[in-house]
Amino acid sequence: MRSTQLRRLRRAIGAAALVGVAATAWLGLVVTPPAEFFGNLVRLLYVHPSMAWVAFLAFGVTTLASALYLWRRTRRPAWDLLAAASAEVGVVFTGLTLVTGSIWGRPTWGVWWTWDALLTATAVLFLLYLGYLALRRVPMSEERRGVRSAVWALIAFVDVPIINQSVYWWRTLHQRPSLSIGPTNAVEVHGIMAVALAVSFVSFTLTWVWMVWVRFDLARRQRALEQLELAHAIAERLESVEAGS
Amino acid sequence: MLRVAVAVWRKDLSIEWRSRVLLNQVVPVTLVIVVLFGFGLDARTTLLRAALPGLYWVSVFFALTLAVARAAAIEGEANAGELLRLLDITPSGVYLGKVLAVATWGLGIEAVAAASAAILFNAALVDPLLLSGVAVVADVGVSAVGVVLAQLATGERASESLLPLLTLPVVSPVLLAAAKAWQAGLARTPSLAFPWVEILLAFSCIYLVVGMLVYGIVLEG
Amino acid sequence: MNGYVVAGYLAVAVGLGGYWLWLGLLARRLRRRERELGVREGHDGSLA
Repeated sequence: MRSTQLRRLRRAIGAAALVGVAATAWLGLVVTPPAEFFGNLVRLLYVHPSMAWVAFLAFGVTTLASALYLWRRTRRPAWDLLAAASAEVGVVFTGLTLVTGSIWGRPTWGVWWTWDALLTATAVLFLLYLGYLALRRVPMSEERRGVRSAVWALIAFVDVPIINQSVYWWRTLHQRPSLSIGPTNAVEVHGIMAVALAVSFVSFTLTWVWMVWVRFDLARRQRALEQLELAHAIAERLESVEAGS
Repeated sequence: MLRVAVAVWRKDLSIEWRSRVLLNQVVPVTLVIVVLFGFGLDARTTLLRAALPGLYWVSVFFALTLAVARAAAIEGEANAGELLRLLDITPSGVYLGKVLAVATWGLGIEAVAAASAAILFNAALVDPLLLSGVAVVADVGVSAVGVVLAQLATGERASESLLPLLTLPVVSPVLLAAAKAWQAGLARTPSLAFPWVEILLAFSCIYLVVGMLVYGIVLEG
Repeated sequence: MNGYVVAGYLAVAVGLGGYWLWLGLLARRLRRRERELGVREGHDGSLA
């Protein structure tokens, strides 16, 4: 059957993601050497950028799925559920991007938070998608929730370049731009370090795929269950009406 | 479409004129916030003057969120979305009218807040042309996106805190740009305000277009 | 080992692990309700 094959594929992705993340930790913490300038801190390089990449990927998929839902020709409940699943996992990864970025910032810049352009934009993005999840939690009919959250996702997406441009000007017009250099620009990546970095990107992306898939599947089953419950309730009601007459 | 817009604008203004919710509640709230900033910063006028652009725009933004919620509430009371659909009125015209109405109230809020901040913080509002131009464009931008968001976040069982959660992060670049432009104006360096005015104009234009495109979809959904 | 590095890796582990646990909890609750309603095992609620 197709569905059992799909489930096997999903399980394989999950297993690969788990192995990959374990390998990332092993490569990052044990195998790779400390860097010349950053010392052991460079090990954070194997988690932070891949978190950020997955976060942006997740919101990109949310936007795409929302647009497909809004367009009448391609409107399927599945797009709405996919957008929601991707946004939820994306919020987790964005949160981790901020936390790991902050942990990187403390020893390198001496503060837990700098109003660095990229960091600030990521924080606003995090807030935008918290709003998305909050909007989805408001009880309303399925189609209305789908349309409204899709519209919100598009509005948020349009906002991203504007936010980027404004915080970029904000933090670079009057301040020396050295703060806006992320960890990647200051470290020479070579050999085993490049391998660790690549493993980290691949395995966290796989983790994202697996999580979105599982979350999507759960939402789909939840939806089917709710429809079933509704049908049961209507049937019961009809029975009681018939018994009464 | 413009005829519809003007009609909706006049309707909203006259409803508001009769109920006076904004005049009796939102404008005083703005005043309260400005006074509270004075308390919070220990009434040190040098500090308040230095922070004036930020304080001013934060208080205006809170008040504007209330005004936006009010505009959506007017529509909700009459269940007007349904009616507009039955009458086959262009949604983009309705949208423009609501944006105009909110922006008109916003100008009033901004004027009151600016006057009270200038008096209470003992600050001279130099370069009034630049400051008011920035205020108008920022006002239109916030109204343009706020009217759509209010339509998303109201009705049924949405709580009041949802609308600020949706609106404030989206308009954060407007806050940043407006505050920076005001800073430049107050510091008598108006040329520094140009990139920020650009951002404000871009934001307003983009969201006016987006709003006109999606408002109808939101109403029917 | 650097304390910041440990904290960073730990944060990722806690974040992703926490979400994973939450997904598991969600799945368990869903399966229980499915069983109560007599949905057959392995039904994926396909969307028409």
